[in-house]
Amino acid sequence: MHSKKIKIVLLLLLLPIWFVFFGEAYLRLIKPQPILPRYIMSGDFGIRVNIPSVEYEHKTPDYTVTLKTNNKGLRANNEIPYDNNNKAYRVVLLGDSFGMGYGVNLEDTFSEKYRVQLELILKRPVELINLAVSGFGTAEQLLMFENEGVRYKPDLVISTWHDTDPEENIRSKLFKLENGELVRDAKAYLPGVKQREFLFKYPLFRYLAENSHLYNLLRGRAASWVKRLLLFRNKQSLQSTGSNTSGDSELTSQILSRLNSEIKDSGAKHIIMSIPEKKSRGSYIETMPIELIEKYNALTLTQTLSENSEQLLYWELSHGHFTPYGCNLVAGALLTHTLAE
Amino acid sequence: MIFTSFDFLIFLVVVFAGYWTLQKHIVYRNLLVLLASYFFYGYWDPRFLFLIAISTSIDFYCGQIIGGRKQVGSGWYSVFFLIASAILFLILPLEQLVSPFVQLDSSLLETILSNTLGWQVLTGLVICLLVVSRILPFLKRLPINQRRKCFLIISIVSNLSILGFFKYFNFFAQSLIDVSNVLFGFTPSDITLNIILPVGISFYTFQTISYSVDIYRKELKPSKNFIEFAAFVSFFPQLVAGPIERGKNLLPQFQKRLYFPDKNELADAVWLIFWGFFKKLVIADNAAKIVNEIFGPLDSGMSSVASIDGGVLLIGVYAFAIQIYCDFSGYTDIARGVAKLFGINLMVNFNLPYFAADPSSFWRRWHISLSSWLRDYLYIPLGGNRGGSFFIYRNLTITMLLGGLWHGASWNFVLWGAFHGLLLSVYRAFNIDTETPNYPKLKRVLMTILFFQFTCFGWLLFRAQNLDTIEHFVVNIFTNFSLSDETLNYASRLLYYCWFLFVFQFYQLFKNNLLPLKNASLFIKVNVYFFIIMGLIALSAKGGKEFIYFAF
Repeated sequence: MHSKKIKIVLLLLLLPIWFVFFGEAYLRLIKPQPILPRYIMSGDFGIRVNIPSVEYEHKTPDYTVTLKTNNKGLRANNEIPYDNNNKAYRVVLLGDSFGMGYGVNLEDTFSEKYRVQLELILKRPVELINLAVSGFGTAEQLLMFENEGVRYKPDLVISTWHDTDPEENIRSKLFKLENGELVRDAKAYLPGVKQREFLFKYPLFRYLAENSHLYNLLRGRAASWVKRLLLFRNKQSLQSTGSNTSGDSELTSQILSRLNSEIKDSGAKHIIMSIPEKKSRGSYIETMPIELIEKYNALTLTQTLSENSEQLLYWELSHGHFTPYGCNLVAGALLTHTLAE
Repeated sequence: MIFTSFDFLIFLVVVFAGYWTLQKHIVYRNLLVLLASYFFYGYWDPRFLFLIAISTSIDFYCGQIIGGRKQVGSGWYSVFFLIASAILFLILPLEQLVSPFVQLDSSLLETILSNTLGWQVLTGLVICLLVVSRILPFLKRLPINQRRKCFLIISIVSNLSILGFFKYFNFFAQSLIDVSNVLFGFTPSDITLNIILPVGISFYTFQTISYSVDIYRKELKPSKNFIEFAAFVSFFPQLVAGPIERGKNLLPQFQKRLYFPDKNELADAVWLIFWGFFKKLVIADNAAKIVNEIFGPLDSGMSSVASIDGGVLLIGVYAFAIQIYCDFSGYTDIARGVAKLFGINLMVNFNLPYFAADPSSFWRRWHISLSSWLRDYLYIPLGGNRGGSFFIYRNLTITMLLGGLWHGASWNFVLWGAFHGLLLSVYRAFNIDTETPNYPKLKRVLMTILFFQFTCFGWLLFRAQNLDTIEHFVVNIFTNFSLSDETLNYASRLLYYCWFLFVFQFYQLFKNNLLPLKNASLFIKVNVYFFIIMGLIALSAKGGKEFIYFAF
């Protein structure tokens, strides 16, 4: 009887351990996961920022790339001071993982290709200040520009639109509409950052984040649940304050409007680039509302991508970011649009 | 509410806890099942609860009289239930009961007054009850045998009327328009109606019909307790997509005290639920993507014959065969597993159907609850195997045609039924019975492979949206077949998701046991469970799809 109990206890202890090994082996053999660790921390202004001076890898069944941040947390190999001592043409890029260049090495990012080509055309140094952080919506782009981007005194600001932006803006609750006016709401939006900062103190977790397929799968699923929960909760509170559901797009529209006017006030030009949603290979959907495209003369990429749909433009076995070829096309379209503007 | 939703998980936990708390009190336990089942169904669309209520009330009352009772005191329960349902229908929209976040924008009184349809239903019901109250005394004076027959007819006609109106009215109306247009060059004004097909209507109407017929045949005693009967009709795990239970099997389980499942029963229940989810979310939903990619352009008439590789089309048909099997049998497994958690055993609905080597064997393995229903309540009353060959083939064809039509109001289902009727007749004509004990094994294997191709052709008829699609598939498979990269790519994608199904089904076949893990070692059990769990986490298709058979 006693030994039976011991057996059961041992079994209960062993099962979770065996599950971890089994799960890891299963995923490596049957469904390798994209391993995209995010090195982010709380910024001084209540939103996430990239951890400065780190170098890490993103490994997926499609690719392995290296990401490196400078001492201000920008994805770059060099340091860029706030003061423009080089008298360079300065471009600030705001965006999410697409803007940050997930899926490609630095030299293949659309921003770097764009910088190099623009430098050739302008025949003067061009500095690209990449302030994009994975997971950002329009609200965070606005705060990033107000607190960081403006300090670089840019000549041009490129912000990106992604189909997840309206949801991200509700989820983050950083802004709300009060009598049709955009006002600041939550002081901070740092989803999972504290937990990540705590866990990343331990080398084991860093190792798991960078190498374990099971860890990344479960973390991804958990993050997706939390995001859905936050969206649900914030939508409910939007409804309870009398806003209707069309307030989602109105909120985003107003944030974009403020971003645009602040950029203009700083003396910089503003280009909005909309990242299309990929439905299948060769099928891309524009997600930015047409009235916003027309209002800001936003750069849309669906035509450019569709014309080259025989090529692999988005990675297919990871989180669907641009391939080097896709980045090349985007950089070309962005350059043409910049010159036309 | 569908099994794959998070809402269902919460619902299940709450009902499970309540059910076993009321274990000793059969009436309250059945009342809980009834309320839970109506909530489960009403979560999708509460308007159609009224149809279940009508079906339940009529069959309970008719069942009493068919069972030989002249004075039906408890029959008043039917009337009360019907009126209560109608009043509930009147204060609709019930969405507000199940969705607490929706705010009422008018008072309850305004809602009631403005519910035109509700008033029409209530008025219609009162008129019907008045008419029935005048006719009933006359019917009750009939000799017992005539009375029993008369109430059996009332039960069957009323159930088939509900089914016919909601499922087939538009189909026959449109067919009438088409026929008069073709034959007489005359197009009558549009007589189709904007009717929504209530989920599960084919399942519960067949279940209640079998109840009445079984009582008439004296194979079942009528239920004396209305709540118990209503719970039997609406039992939520099998309400919307079967199995189509018989009163003989399910009703007695609502009449006795049940005990919490023991270790083995719990293990069976958990396995059925996990395996059902795996079949639905990992295999069926991923196979559906392949099917939709291949059938999609043809459904919308976009592709020309020459542009499609026959190999790809063949994979599309195989993928649909796997999709529909895993979708439907997955649902049944989950339903059986959930029912087992409540101490109730539902019938086996699938028994390795793709290992069938002839059509008779296939129909003894595929959707067993429907095929046995058709056999018992249609084929045998038509004459079954009695009479000459002509009558047997006629009976087979009629049964399969109606079986096809049961699946949906569309000519492709009729065609599918006719095809299976033809297969049954041809195999019978050649006296091919592969299940005789001394049938050569190798020959049986070859016959299984051959019959699988016939089954797949049937699935092509079932899935195709138009005759052009069928023609495209057949022409290209036979004249434009190649093992191109695209074909191999689709084949490997399909195999990637369903190889474990093949392995496990062979394991079931060789063990001759649908639950072979029961006798497996702990090591095997643990690893198979981990495999299923990992598959559900990592391979489930995004964007959950409804079960195919909800549409029937």
